[in-house]
Amino acid sequence: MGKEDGIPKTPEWQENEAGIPAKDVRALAREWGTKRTYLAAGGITSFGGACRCATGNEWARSMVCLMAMQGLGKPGVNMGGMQQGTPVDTSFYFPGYAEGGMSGDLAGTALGVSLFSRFPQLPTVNTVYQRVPRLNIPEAILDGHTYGYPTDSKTIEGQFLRFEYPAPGYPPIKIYYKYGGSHIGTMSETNRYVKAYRSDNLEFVVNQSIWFEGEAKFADIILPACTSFERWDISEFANCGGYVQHSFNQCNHRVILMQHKCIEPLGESKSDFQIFLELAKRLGFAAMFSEGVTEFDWCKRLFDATDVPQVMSWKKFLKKGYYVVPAPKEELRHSVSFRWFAEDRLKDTPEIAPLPADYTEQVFRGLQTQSGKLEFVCSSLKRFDPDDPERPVMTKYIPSWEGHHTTELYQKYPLQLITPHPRYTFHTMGDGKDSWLNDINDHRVLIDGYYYWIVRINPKDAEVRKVKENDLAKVFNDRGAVICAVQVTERIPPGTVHSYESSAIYDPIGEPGFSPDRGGCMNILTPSRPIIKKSHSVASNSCLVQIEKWTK
Amino acid sequence: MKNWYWIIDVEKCENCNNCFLSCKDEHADNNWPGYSAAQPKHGQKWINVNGKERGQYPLIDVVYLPVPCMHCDNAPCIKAAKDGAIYRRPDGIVIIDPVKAKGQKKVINACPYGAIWWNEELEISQKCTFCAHLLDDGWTKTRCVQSCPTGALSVRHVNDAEMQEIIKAEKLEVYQPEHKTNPRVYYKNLYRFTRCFIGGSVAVRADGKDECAEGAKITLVNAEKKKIGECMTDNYGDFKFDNLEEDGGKYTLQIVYTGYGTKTIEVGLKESLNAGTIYL
Repeated sequence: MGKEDGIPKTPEWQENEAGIPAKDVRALAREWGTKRTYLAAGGITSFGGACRCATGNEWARSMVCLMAMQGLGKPGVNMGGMQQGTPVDTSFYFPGYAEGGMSGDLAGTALGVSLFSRFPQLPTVNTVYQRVPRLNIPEAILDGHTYGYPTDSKTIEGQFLRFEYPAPGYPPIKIYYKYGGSHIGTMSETNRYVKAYRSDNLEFVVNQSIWFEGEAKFADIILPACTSFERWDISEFANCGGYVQHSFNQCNHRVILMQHKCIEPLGESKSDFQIFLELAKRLGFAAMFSEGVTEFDWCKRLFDATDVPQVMSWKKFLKKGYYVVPAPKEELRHSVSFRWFAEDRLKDTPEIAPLPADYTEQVFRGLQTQSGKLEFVCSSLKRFDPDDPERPVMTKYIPSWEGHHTTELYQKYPLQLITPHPRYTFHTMGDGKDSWLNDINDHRVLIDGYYYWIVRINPKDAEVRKVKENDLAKVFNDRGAVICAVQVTERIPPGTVHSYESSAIYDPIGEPGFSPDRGGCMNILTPSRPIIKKSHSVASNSCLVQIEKWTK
Repeated sequence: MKNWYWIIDVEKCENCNNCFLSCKDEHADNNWPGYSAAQPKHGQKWINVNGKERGQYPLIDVVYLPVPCMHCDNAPCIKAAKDGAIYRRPDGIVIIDPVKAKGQKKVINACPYGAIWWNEELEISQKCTFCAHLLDDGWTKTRCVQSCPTGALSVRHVNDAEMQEIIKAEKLEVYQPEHKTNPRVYYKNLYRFTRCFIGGSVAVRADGKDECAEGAKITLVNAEKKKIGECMTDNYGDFKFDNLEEDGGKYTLQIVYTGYGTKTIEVGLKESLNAGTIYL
């Protein structure tokens, strides 16, 4: 309330911060406070786009505090995502992609949790312990050093363990083997990646991809992978497992699929399994990799390790192609999240974490915070770093390091660019590639024979810049420039511009890394600075840009 | 005799474009001899989802209008086509014969809805076939209807009398009736796309602070002094009168809020209008 800085954080104060009239904030607070409120702050673990900004950490913590004040877990008072909530059967076993599949990787995946005992296979280990955070790959190559904090979903303490690149005793990276080509569209400040690829520090690049998109063009050798229509596979909708347990509850039904091979791989392409098998042959451990069977056989072996054979034979599953797990009977449905907490009972919901050792007082009673309670002042942060100005022990408002308070930058780049996940593609999947999706009116716009990515701007901001609907415009800041088609819309408030991230096409009009991209990789413009230095995090929605008409 | 009709609920369409993509999946690269030649990969939108924004920030809404071929009973394209290249089947479906259509580019301009497309490579005109090849094979709906997750798109296979009952019961309309082509595509809640609203927000000064005026009574009166509607503001002070004619001339908003008196505001209505925050 301003005890620290003398500025009471009133609804009037926030008008200049957020642009929302004080009266509306008061009306929202009254509505929130007088009704049972379910807070749908965003999708599964990451809390959605509002969390991916300079102060996203504090935003996420504030959301938890708001629900704590409401009585989290009481009937009608809870938090989650609007995509979740349909009762699905979590006890039916089918592994997610992070459970290792046929990898044998006991350390780097959740294979050891349940799948390995059901699905015996040769265990393997990656003997290289050096690692680089995905968002810092360019620094590792260009600067020769970087660091990171892991995402460890097993314990709180796991988040606090800093690791360095290069790791003690390890050489610098000389070869980069990249699967897929999405990073220029999906990471942050992505001209960094282009520069890293072109650096002499990186001697050799392999790209294994289905599509010739984004980064693939920077590879010395491209290993063409076939599409999912050209190989056998078995999987379930939206099932990650491991670091996102029970993530299938994003769907209304659990749907387990046999992915049929429709045609032989086209051209020189091969399935990923076949590519890795060919490499394993040359390295002398083909038998250990394949265990002497084909990818079709591996599908059968995985099928046998799941609960599906209890309800459907392999032959029937192959013929039908899918199995929908029935919703549990009313009496077998799981209890509501946090109800046990609100009623001070033992935890009775099915998540694997926190593991017993993470409880401080009594196992299964209370949260895994040191106090077992919802902590406004965080005990774990008090111990780890009580004086971190970016993550104070008690959450508070911190002005953005790229926003209207960064005066000099704001004068130069007065528009706030937000870049949510795309509406019509899943990350870069489906975009570009000459697909039908390009023809969707709000996905890309065809101008002079080229499908441009769309930037959305309020009529007031468009008028000042003399740009109109379907003009080409250069969106730019000190990090780079992207050429987009303009869509003028009242859905965006003045001062803000909107464009989706995840363009699959990187198409610089001049020298790569130094010239405007007309493919639509908006992440060229977003900051690479993490939300806080002591975490692995992305703040891409704190991004100041300018827009001008593009006439070349 | 049963005929085919569409019913499209404008209120339920949220621009997912599953209809557009499933149409591509059914028709691009696929010849259906007797019904249609393959739709080219790009450039044609046999079902086109048109968007319209109404109002001004922050009081806006967005509406989507999927437009397939209207399968008109009085189809101008049929008249414009030579050699019977475009014809109506007994069940009402209008088909462009993929063979006879060769070279007939002029029929494109005959369609007032822009629903006919030119295939440069094959030199034929093309459009939505109502998935007639599927219906004749026993399907009960088109691919786009099958893929619509919100139920915005549906088809009916009924006789004309039954359809008239449905039109009356569900208050269905055709889009742009001024073309007088008697479309077989009917829309529900079409006003969301073709008509406009007057919205705004009411606020007061109380104890030196701005407050939203919840429960203020708003009366809308037209130029002829006729009362058009009445509503109460919500907890954000917001109100909205929808289903008004565009270019509707002068309207008067009468605002009454207990304890704060009354206010009268005149607005000229061209298209949807956010009258802004009105202080009492």
